[in-house]
Amino acid sequence: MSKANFIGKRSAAAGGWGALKSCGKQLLGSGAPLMGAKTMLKANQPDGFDCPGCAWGDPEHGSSFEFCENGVKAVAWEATEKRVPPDFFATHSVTTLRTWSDFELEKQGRLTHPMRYDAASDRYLPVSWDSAFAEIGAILRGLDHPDRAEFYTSGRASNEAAFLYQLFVRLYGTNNFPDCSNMCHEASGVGLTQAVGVGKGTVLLEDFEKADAIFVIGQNPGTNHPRMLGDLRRAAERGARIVVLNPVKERGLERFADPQRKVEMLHGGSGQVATHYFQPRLGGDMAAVRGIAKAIFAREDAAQAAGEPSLLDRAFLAEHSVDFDGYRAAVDATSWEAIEDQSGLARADMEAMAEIYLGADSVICSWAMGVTQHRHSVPTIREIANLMFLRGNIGRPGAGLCPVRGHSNVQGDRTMGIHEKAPTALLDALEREFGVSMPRKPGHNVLGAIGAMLDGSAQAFIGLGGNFARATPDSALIGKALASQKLTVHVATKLNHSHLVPGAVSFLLPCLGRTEIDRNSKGVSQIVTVEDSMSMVHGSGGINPPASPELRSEVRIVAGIAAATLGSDVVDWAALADDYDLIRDRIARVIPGFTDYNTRVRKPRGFHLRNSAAHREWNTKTGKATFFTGPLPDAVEHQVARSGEGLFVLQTFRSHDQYNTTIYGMSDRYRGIYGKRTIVFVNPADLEAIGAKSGDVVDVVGQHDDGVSRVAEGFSLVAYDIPRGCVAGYYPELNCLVPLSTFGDESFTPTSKSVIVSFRKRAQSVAA
Amino acid sequence: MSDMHDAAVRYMAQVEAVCAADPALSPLGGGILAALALKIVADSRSFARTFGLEHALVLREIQQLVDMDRLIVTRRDERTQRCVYAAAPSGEAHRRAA
Repeated sequence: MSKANFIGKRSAAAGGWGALKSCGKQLLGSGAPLMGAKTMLKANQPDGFDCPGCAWGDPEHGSSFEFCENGVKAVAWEATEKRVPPDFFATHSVTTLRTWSDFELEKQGRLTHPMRYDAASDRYLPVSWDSAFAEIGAILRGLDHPDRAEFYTSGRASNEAAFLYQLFVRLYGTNNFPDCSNMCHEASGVGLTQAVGVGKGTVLLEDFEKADAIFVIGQNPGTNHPRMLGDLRRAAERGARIVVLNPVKERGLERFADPQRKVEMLHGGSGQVATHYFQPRLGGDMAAVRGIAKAIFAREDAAQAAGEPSLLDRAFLAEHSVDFDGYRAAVDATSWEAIEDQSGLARADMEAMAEIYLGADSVICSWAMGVTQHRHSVPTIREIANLMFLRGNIGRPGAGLCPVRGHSNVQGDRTMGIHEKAPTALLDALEREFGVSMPRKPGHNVLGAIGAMLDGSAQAFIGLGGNFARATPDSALIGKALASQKLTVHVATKLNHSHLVPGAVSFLLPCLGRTEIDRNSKGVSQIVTVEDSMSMVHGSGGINPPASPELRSEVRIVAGIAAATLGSDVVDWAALADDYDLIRDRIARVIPGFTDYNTRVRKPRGFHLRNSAAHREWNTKTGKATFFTGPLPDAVEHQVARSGEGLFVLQTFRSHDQYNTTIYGMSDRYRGIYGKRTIVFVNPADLEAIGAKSGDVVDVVGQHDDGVSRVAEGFSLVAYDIPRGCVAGYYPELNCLVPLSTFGDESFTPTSKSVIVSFRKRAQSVAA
Repeated sequence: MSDMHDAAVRYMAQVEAVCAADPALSPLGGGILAALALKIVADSRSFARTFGLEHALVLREIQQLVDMDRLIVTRRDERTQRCVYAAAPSGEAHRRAA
């Protein structure tokens, strides 16, 4: 339907009835008994709707999707009227579809029927659900060991789907749980667990209303979590300092037009977000934070020498932390020269940040992939925690650590047990609840799963959502790995490239999306639950009719596969799939913090999962908040790249029309790019140095020294405000350059922000 | 104040009548049908704003009313999901009965 023929754009009640809202509000405000229409109607709304657009906190759970670009795109993308029925596959072979772009594939619309790949015709053919489950179950049972199968989870999966999935997989006999967290915030989980004893952020949304300074590191909320910009802007407006460290000058972080401010939107206005914007080199964040600490220590020394009170929170350091002296020694041993060189910032920049930090009573530090996708991401997160410890900026209002997740339930999936190295307590609790033993041997993360598929030890891949082949490094290699499997199963809403590298037997199982109403066999609507970046757990029910009557929920699909594989002696899968309250009852008995789950999740904002570090309880090895005392890396990639001529460090990132591997459109308006994704952003001086200009088309050549040729062909260079030696471009197109063999120390996260590349000129240049 | 009160009273009386005529209706469903019958609003977003409710919850209830054969959705905006609705033929009979 075109917008032009859509009537009633303005929200307006018919004449005389406009008073209704005022009347309802007044009655509501007076505390009068149930008399106002608004009060009455609100009383009947137990279940919210969680926007699938991102993992930022959402206090209302109902309308944010329409006031946020990500929300609008995510909901509209799922609610499209376009369909991919069996006829579509009859028309297009898989080989042909492989030539289509990610954007073209997903633009075709929603999958409507379960499909099975037919190698003879190179086409997907319709299959019944029961046949699909039976064959999947037979193949899984036929593998010589459960560890031969890999069970991937996307962050879209609800708590209920994730819990059931991990239960099925562990009852099957393996801990092989590669999941999307392995490719994004794993370093946050590892680093924070070491530092504060819990791998999650310690702040609530309300803390952003109380912070005096907010440091935003390696993060682009304008594109990835737009609702966060509203909170940052409100903080800036009340005088809080918003300090951004990002190599790329991101327009959305400089100024932000809040869609909820309608007059502003009409007039094209916007408000300042970042009060201070610094551009370190890629991988330079740890050095930058150490520089801030070094400046703080210099100020502290001066204060002490002058007989003034300490600038540090000495009580916190004494009572709650260990290894402070070791950290001080490590900072003292790090020269300003080394800090400036590695960070790419001037000493004065870091001293300015130190002043902001010291001038704030309460500080929040948030970060995202710009921090987590380097070799030294875990030490970087430890360094951030160190900085926060110095003045006790954790476990009190307006202060804390805030890793901002991408997918709307990636954090919840981990809470539910999607973890290749599950905590012993979880496995013990599962055994108590279900009365059978659980596998104890650690399983595969994403890199482990890829390795197993490549060496032939894995023979089956089950993907609960996502686009594994495109989200992972060395894309071509992953395609081959998937195609080598005896069985591939993809649970999906839309077609993507992972579906086009089928194993010997391959199924495409279409599922309901978050926006769709999920009814059980009795016709009762079911809700699922998710956990946001602030550890708020809340319910979400669909709002639209399903795209096809054939669709099943992820929960039901998992239950179907599980029943066909394991039978229903230990778990009555069908009963659980027909009543998610029963799943939540099981979760409540297994996962700490979920007591009375079914009741609490139906409260308006759901409930908060207690965070021990936010209460200054430290479940670390030392029993305290633990300082990192190591040195900076000897050299990060931009320093390595200097050793060779024409070498640059590449980071991959999203465009503004993109959500993970899902491409909504071909433009990136904040960065001024329209209709094209094969782009590399380069500093103008670097362009000049290599004798190129904006618009030149080049091949981007991976320079990882492992003998593998990696080339991304035909990318247009675009001059951009990014530090010298650093370049950037979009994934998944550039994932082909990310080496599988480089990953974060301890986190095993692909180093998608630290890829050394060069440019190879092509014969012809065309305008970008 | 009295005008506002009258509006609320008139509206709530209609809600009660609609709900009394069909006990299967939720108060929110009754509220949507009442607002339609009184020609207050006939699209999801306007209803949500008029009553200060979350749009997603109104959309869900409208789908419930469609499933109950009380409403038909005549237009839907793909971007905002806003939908314009009318009484289903059988729903119209319910409304008249109320």
